[in-house]
Amino acid sequence: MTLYALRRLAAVAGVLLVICAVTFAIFYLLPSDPAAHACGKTCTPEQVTLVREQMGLDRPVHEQFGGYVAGIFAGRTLGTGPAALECSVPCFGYSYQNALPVWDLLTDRLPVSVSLAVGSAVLWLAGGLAVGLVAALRRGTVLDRSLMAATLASASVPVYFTAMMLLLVLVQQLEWLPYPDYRPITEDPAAWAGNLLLPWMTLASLYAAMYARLTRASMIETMAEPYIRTARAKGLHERTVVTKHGLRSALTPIVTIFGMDLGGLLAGAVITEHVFGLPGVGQLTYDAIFKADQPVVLGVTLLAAFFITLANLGVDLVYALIDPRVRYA
Amino acid sequence: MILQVRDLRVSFPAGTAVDGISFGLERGRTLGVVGESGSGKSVSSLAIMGLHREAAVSGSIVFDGEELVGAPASRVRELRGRRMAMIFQDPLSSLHPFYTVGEQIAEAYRLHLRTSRRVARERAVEMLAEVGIPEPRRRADEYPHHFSGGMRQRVMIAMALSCEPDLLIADEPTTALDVTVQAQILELIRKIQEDRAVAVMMITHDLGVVARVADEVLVMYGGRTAEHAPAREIFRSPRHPYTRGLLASVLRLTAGEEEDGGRLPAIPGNPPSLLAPPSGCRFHPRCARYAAAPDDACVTEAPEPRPAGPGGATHRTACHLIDISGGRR
Amino acid sequence: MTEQLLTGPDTANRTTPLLAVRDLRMTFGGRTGVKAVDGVTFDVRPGETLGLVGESGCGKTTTGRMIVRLLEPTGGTVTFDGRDITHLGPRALRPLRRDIQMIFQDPSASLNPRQTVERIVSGPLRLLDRRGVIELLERVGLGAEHADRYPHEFSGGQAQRIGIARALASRPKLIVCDEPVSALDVSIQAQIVNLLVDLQRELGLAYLFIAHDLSVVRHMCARVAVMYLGRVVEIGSRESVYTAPAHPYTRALLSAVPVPDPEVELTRERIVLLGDPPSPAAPPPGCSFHPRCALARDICRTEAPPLEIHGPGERKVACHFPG
Repeated sequence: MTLYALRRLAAVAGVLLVICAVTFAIFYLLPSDPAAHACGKTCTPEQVTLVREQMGLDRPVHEQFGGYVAGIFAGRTLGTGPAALECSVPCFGYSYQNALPVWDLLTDRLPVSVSLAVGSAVLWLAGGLAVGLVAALRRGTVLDRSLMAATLASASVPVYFTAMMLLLVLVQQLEWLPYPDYRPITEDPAAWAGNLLLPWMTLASLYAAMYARLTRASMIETMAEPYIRTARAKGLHERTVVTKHGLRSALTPIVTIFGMDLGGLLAGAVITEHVFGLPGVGQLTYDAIFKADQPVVLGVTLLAAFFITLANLGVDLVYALIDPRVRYA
Repeated sequence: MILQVRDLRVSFPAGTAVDGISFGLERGRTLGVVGESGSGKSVSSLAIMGLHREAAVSGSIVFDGEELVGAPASRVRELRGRRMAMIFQDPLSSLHPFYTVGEQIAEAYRLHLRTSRRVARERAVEMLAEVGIPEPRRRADEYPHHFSGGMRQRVMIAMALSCEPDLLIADEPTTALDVTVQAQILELIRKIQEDRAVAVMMITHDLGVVARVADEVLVMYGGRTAEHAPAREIFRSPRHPYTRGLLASVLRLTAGEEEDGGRLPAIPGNPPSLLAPPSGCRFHPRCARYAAAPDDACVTEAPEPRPAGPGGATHRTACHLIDISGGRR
Repeated sequence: MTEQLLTGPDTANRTTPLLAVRDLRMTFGGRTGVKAVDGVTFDVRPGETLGLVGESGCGKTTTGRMIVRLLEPTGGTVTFDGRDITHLGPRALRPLRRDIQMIFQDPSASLNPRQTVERIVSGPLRLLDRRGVIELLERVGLGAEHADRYPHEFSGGQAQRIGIARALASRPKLIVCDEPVSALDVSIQAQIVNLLVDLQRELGLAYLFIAHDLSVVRHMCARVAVMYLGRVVEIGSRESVYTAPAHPYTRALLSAVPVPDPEVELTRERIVLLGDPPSPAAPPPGCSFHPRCALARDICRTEAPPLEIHGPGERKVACHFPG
């Protein structure tokens, strides 16, 4: 099991390297000139050339890439002469926009995105599983049908629309919730939760709907398995049959999807963060893409890839815990 | 009589699967229930176990003096697994893939006998040993997918017998197994029955299996009784045209040489549909006797099982075209 | 050894085989993989039926699939009508597909649910027009009214009739029947067996009849091969195999089959084998049957017995101590 986990971790590193290279290549091929962006609108061509040299953009692509990767593990000095910047480990370069280290930008923004992702995940898992379970066990009834209609509606509304509606009703009209303003959990947990409740609900309403439908389908399939009949034939309480024998099997496909979803969200929920003005990684990504801020885009891409591959690994490990048939394969 | 079934009817929204069958079963005896797909043999057994969730069950099922039709679900659940147990056709899908066989055997024992986890586990090991699984203590911690088909069916039997039930319903227990393994399992069931005086209801389509294990045979056709008699009489002097046809068309290991490669006396047509069963006697569209001498009663009136044959009252046949003295009308 | 297997005592008056299988092997998963079929040799003559019996995992289905060339053998040869077809490519196989057809166990699963019976029977090559299809349907006991329906509208027995009609459309010489009746109800089994026997007489078909049910094989097949763990352990005429089985496995297999007669069941001798059939992934050394064999001695644990002539006729047995 440990060996398996180590092997998988090595694979994660490989995947990250490939993603890094691909992102790097894409930027290299793009027509936009980061040096011109960094220098500003009033720069003369000579100045731009100087900046390009300073940034190392005049060197061949494989050297640039090698320097980038080496910087992550060993740190490096960017530029030469008096304008040289010492970039400490882990070095992901400096933002072209504000000359701040990308690593610092990411670590500043990460708590916001993680708070958003984890909080909404708790909400949507609880809500989605509960609704899906009830619908599956009451299959074919009016309750089942209305729950499924509601989830369909909820899943098909765009996030920004949900966000606007919730803002309008809960913040402006009823004034039950404050307008979201991120507060670190370390300072004031109550304010942290209170301020994030609205974005959590926004994200959760979308995901919970999908999870409810998924749970229902998976549960219906599981409850038709012969081993459920065996459990009933043993005289177990229906409660035990549903939870111990049914739900555990029904959850396996959901674990997979959940890992992917959470991994993706940890690296920033772009639209939700943007709508609520939350200073998360998603917001950072949004800005960096518009400004062609290559080091930042590269950084968030790697971060997203890291979370998703890690989540995948987590899913596989959890899977092995749930399903003994996977363990020895 | 440990089990007395009278006029059992099981209806689904789509149609009636069992339409009035009656039989009794003594401790230590084996009733073979024979029929083709759609004959209602499995549906009847699930009704006895109270395992139908969306079917209307009427008539009477008296288990050890207690009426089960209309009894509270909680009461039937107490009996299930404790005093009546069931094993199924496919032992792999009938065992939960995520729990060790030891856990699965101990589960019912712990519930019904309110013992500790440790006692129940000891019981599981003891049962595994009894059904002939080598190294039971070690194997108890393994999962169903580590066992072969025959061993899995032994596990199912161990699970069914752990609470010392009075009635064991075996629904095609050897159909999915190889013939040499089938012989082992049938031998095991026979031995257990001898040791514990348990009543066995053996549901099968295989007349050879019935001949090997049954004391009494119930032949079902289209949800009704065709013939019900001591095993020896069913095979030696079958009265119902369906039983006769079945016995004549079954392939044998030791047929006379003149039959080799020749035509078998097959029953024409297909088993009746549950949705649109034939009127009157459900067998009449395929019946050789009816074809030779059509009788209106066969089309209009469902024949009731009545004594017919050398066995007197113990040999009952549901056919208009035989007379009670035993000869053909 | 191959030569010796080919030449029985009555070589002179034997017709040339339609299908000749020599030392056929199939190893899944590379050189060190699972030997599903491990050196199988037999003939099928024109118009005859050879039965291939054995329990799950014995390699009988894999053998059938190699003969219809759904699988490419990893060793040995398959000769059909005098032509080596062991390693033919997809293009060269096309004409062969007409001559060798297959019938499957699960009739409804092996028919395309989106095609009408007419399309299924006429096949991808459109071998038949509508009249031809109807003729064929009638021959297998269905009618013109069935031609425009879809597979799900049929019962298991009827679906198997459609499968048979499809196999007949290209006028094959050999049909590999893989458990053709084991998924069917008892009363329907007899109908399909009768149909197969009738068709063989009318059309002079040869069958390779693969089944685990010894009773069906006895009825259908004049010659029978018993397989165990990828090898043929006994092959011979129906009479020799069923009335005087020489391999202890054949004897155990026969005695394990329940006979539909309680009085016979009460008195007959029964050999109950211990344990399960071993996995082909880890076959026992020597004779692969020895761990379950009551007669096993030292030589059985170390040396695999060759398939050799034993007793009268052409019966061959792979056992150090044949009965």
